[in-house]
Amino acid sequence: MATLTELDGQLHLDCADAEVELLRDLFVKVDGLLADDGDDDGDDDDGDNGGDGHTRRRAPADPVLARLLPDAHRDDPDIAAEHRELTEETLRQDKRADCAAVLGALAVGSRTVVIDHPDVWLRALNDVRLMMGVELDIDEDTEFPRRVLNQRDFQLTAYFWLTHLQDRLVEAVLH
Amino acid sequence: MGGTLAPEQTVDPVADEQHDALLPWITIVWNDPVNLMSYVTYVLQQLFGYDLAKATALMLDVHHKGKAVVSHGVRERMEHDVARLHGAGLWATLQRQG
Repeated sequence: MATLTELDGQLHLDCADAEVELLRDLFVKVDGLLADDGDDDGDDDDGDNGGDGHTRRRAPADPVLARLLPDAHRDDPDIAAEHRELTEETLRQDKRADCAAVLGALAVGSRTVVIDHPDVWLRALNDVRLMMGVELDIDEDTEFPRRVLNQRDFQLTAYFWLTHLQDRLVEAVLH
Repeated sequence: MGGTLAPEQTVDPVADEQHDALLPWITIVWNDPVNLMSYVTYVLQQLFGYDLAKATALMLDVHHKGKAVVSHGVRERMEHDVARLHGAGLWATLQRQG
């Protein structure tokens, strides 16, 4: 299993090839979701235009994107839409930039990954875990699978592996 | 949730009330089964400059009470805070205080 070590003040992640591949796949997947700004993001043809002829930007229909790009107000759709107009594009770009930076460090075939910017890794890992959390329907009671019998069990082990990695990384940056 | 917002030293209630009137919006962080307690504490320290004790107390409120008010101020400032929290992957909203 990947280990995080600190050497001369620099964090290194030692991974097996399969782990690098898995990490790459997951970051590419999040990036792909964030890149998709399609028409199916809730702006339906029924034209919710807020009464001023201007189509309001609503939360993405995709549940993963809805979690990564959440509404800024719980009860007031106008405030949420206004905030989304102002911030969603930047938020997508920032998250994609985090993915790109991490993918840049995760070169295929490299088994030692230098973590130059742990804050970027923390955010990107968190986004991957949020994606998996939605996909796997993670809640407070979700447990590490005792046996890996199917695809979901495998994804759960990956999720908990990333949880451990993120926790170790937080610990490393705080000490 | 007022407890987490209380100033470190108690000030006289009238001044406090006037202070609150100038700060009518709040930013709330909601509990989420994915976000790690350690990470939430780290983010609150990084984004708001809170010390470990305050960030930990807020994180524990999020975890145990389901939410915590992490900042208050004018609406524009809270919109900025919410955007930064979303950038870190925390589930945050703003609303009018009260």
